[in-house]
Amino acid sequence: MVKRMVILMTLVVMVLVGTNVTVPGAAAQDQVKLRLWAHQQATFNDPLQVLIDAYTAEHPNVSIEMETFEYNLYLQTLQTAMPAGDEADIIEVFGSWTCSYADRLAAMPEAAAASFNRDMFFKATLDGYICDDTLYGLPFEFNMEYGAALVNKGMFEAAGLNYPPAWTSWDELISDAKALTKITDGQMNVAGFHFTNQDAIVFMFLAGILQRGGNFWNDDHTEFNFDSDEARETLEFMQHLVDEGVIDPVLYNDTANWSGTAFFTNQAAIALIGSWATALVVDYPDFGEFDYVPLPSFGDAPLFAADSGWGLTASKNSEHADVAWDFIQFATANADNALMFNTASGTIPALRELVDNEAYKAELIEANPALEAVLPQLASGSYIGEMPDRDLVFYSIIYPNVLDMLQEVQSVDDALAFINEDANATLE
Amino acid sequence: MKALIHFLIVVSLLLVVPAALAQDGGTPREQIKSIENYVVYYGSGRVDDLARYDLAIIQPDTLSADELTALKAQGTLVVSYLSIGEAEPEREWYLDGRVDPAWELGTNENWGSRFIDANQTGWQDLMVALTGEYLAKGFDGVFLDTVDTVDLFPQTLPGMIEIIRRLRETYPDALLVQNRGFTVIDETAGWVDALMFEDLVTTYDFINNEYLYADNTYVAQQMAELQTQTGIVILALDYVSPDNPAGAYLAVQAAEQYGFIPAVSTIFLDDIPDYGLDGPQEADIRVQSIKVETNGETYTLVITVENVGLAATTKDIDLSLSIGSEQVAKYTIAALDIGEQAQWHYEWANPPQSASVRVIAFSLDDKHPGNNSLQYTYHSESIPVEPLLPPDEQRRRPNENGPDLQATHLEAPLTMDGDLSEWGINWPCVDVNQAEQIIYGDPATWTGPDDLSGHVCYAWDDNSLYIGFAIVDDVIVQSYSGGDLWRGDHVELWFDTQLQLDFDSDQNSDDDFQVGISPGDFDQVPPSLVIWTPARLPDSYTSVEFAVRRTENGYSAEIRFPVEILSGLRLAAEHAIGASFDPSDTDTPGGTDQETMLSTAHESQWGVPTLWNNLILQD
Repeated sequence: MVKRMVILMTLVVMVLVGTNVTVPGAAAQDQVKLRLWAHQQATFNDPLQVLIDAYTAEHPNVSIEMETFEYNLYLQTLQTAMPAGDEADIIEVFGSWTCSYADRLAAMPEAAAASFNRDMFFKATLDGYICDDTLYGLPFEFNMEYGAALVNKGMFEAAGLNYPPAWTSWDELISDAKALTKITDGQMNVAGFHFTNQDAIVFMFLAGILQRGGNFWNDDHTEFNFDSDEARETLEFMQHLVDEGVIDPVLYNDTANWSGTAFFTNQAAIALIGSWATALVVDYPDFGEFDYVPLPSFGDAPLFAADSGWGLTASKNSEHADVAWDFIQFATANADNALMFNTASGTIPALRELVDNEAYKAELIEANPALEAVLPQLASGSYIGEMPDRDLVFYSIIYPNVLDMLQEVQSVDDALAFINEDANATLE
Repeated sequence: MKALIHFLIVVSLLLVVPAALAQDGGTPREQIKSIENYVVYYGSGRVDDLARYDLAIIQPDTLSADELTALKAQGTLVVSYLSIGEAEPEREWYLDGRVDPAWELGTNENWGSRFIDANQTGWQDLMVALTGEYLAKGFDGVFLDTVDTVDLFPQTLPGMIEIIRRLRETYPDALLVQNRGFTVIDETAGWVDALMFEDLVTTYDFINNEYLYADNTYVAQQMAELQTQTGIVILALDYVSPDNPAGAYLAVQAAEQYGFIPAVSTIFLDDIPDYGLDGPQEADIRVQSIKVETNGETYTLVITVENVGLAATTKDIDLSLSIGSEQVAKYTIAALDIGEQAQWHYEWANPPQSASVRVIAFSLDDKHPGNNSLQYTYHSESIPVEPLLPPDEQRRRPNENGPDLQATHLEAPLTMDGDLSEWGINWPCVDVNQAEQIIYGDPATWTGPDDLSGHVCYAWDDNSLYIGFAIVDDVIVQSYSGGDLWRGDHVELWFDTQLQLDFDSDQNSDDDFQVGISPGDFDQVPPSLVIWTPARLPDSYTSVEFAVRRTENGYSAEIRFPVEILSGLRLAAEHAIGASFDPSDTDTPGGTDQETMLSTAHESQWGVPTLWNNLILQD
């Protein structure tokens, strides 16, 4: 998940009291006033407002007012407003939160759902909005944290390496990373391959399991399965990277030399991070040239786990949930509209058509060249699965245990055992 | 002697080459009258692409003999490039010494070529000989480029006409296509088969490497009339970036409006671009550029947005400006027509040493949103700021250029009403009323100060530069406004706002402003003001205040330029900038051309800052 949005969100198991709210259909000429809640992020909200303006221009009897909140306040507001039933008609949520709120959300209206083709969206994104096979929202972006890495052109050229790299195996990557690593007086100044921030460790761990043919869920998705051969091989591989000397996990992790900062301050030559991090360069105007290139795969396909993406849902309390849903489809499922949103916000598309159609794809890449490395992999993504507290599992269980293992505080077996035990405890 | 030998060889070759290879449609000179399209391509090969056109203008050595034969066999007329006003140092005929250095008049900084004195018989002979060589190779004729050299060096005009006359006389069946040279076309129209109107609606800024739009309406109308009267084929050639379909569309539209045959290409003519004019008619908004303008104290981000698509947008367009990762401003521009541009001037308070500036345009009309954002990296050291130096450290123009102009430091702003009574009687003003001050036109036609003379004063305060002037003009003739106002009575003002920074540059650049102000005709045509260069949208300088009054013997005017309009200008005591004051006269009733121009700068030439006066801001 995006670094800037990382907070520990303890989901309140909401006591859903209240009456069943019926959703009357809005007659064509009724004046419909909707409110939309979103967190404050100009890159999202500006194009969203354009979509609102376009929709209301097409539907003169509808008005949609966007209300935005600072991110932390937004989370608090959702947790307090929804049980109280005074939330907005349309609510921006992160996909992996959806099922936690599902009882307060309006499912896609039956008539629309009957003809709705779920394959329009990448499965990794849409699955976050499906709870008990019912669709509660639609994504407008794809949150992908694993699959490609930032590479520093100047460092590659200074080391005499091919640039941009086109790694076909992890051995090739490790070879480059070793050549790029710089150690002075026994201390690492430049990490050849920085993969030890929170999201990188978590999503590399999950992708490693998937690419090796395993799964981190049991067959019926009732328990985590982190203590597997595939998980063990993945952690051993991470340990191998440390042993090869391409990263010092004591000096480089999520709290010290975080990968985004380390890369743009020339302290990391290759950094495993989501494509959104390419935008960080705006805070480093003197930084040189860089690219975003695909990682090699542990298996035949670049399988990875993703926790859906941001999108829109409708409140069950809305008197006009049908209109709210109509807007949600307008904003997310219309290819032209989704293209405008993704190009303007620099986000990865959730809508398949934007990748399958070469013209749309070209526009996306022109707007955000980093997507060239990302778009071919999107179909290989799968949703992380519904977790009661995803942040707890990822950032309080997986990350610290793996980091401890990399820092030689605990063994691989211990790390796997602790992760499996603690993660499954969150399901109880 | 060597040139003579070449010439003799060519002539002898011509004896064995059929003079006019009659084809299905008649001789090349007959065929060109009915061509429907043409191409100019200076790259190599691409015979199949060239064959799609009725006429191809190419370089003499970019096709092999077989390729040339194959191209002609497909019915395309093929004409070879020949520069008759400039010599290109990379040409074999230059390298082998056939160009006498004594013929050279200077260097064209844009291309590195040498301006040549066309009056030189040796040069004329060389042009005739080269044409013979090209015809012998199989070309149907020659494309006569750089005829416009006569405008820079008027003394070469007779020689230029003579070259074209001799070419026609020597090669009566060869196609002759003249590029521009509007100054001589009345003389040469009877000899050339086609006239190319290069830069009909566009131009190229070689300093900033930008494609720009240009207004040549009046000349285009004249050439259309010429075509009607003489039947001469007129080819329009415009330069447009390959990713700008709107520019290509507008160029084609304009050419067809005048009955010209359109062609559009890139400035180096090294491609045959497909602008997709047959494709979907869709809007395409682009954030075209982000620039920083500063006088060292205030900074302005100038953001240009353009619709480069083939359809107008229907709705307003929202813009977002971020500096670093923070959104700092939003702005809305009106819907844009095909090819239309709009600008957003954002006052940037306290810019850091460096920053990333990003602009995003939002439009659902736009089916190509990939180019709706632009990122610009600002480094303070890359933005030139005119230094404020003590007078004895400032470089200033020499006395030979003309008198120093002095700007009085104001205590209070002046009212811009065209009435000069506010301007102090003792202020240091300058007169232009002498025959030696004529910089354009025939001095013999200037009958004295009553015909045309001027009196100009400058002033300044912390925010503005002021100009007040009185013109004596016995006949007011003005039918034009805007960019064409130079065709009637008007005054031109030049400012070099950053004198110290590019003191030695003899070419105008972004800190050199050419302003025109017209009195109108005090009847139907209102006064108007235009900034011709640097190119900018009229909407961007509406804050310039000006007023014109009719006087007993002419007219008077006042202008106030807010400092931000004259980019780079720093208003400080004892600081000098470059300037000149140039009244222009058109006396012929209904006249449409400039007839006489005086200047405070004795040897002033268009766009040559080194020839202007100093304008000193008094303490």
